[in-house]
Amino acid sequence: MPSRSLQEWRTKRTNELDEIETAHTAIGGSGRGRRYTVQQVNHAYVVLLSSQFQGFCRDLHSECVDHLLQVIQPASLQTVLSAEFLFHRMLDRGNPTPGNLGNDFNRLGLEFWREVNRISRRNKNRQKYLAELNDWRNAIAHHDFDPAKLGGRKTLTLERIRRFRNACNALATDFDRVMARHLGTVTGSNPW
Amino acid sequence: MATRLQKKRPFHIGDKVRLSFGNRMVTGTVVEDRGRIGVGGRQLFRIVVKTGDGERALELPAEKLRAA
Repeated sequence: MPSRSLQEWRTKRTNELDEIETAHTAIGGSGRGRRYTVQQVNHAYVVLLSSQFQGFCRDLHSECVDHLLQVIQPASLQTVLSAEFLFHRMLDRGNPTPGNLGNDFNRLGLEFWREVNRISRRNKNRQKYLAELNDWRNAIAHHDFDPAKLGGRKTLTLERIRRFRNACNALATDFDRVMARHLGTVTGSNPW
Repeated sequence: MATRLQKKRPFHIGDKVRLSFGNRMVTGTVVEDRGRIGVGGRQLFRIVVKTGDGERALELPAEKLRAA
């Protein structure tokens, strides 16, 4: 059984992302007008994908913290430690970049990316897709399309976004596995 | 006619709550319902507490909170 955060990623969050895929395929017409509309939908898709993945990662972090707090004694310390674990949490206000994820999850007592990369050799490449997804998200949000920061690209294709999404799907599963194993070792019981 | 029972949520955004923070009781404000992502599916609430050096955020289940 996966974490509740991963269950939500695979159901509610996936459904919301599927809706924008549907919108993409529903765009009719041809020529410049269609290309412009498609590009706008692609931009919306990237921002939404980054936002949903941030939501998943933030939920997973909270779920992990709650499991860790359960074993803390005396119980009066649990609230104090909750504040410490959440202090300046990057996922509360920043994008789910590899750096922000490492910063937040490392505080739970593991070397997050080392463990994630240990699970699959493909995760290093997925990490690069995740970084590029967030570069695009920032370019769109700030209307600053510098090809040097966007893998030499000026426009975004649906195929590229699907690669980002596949990377997020695979990473979500591996984040869940890494944290389950870590919490199991630290607390002595499987969290999910 | 079918009757639908609605489970009342214990706290809402903006509610003032009291909680134990180390060796003292403090008052905080519920700023977000985080959903049922806690241990065993328990509902977590994000609480902001004012401390001497600014604001601190916590995420706690309802059983750790009481209405202020």
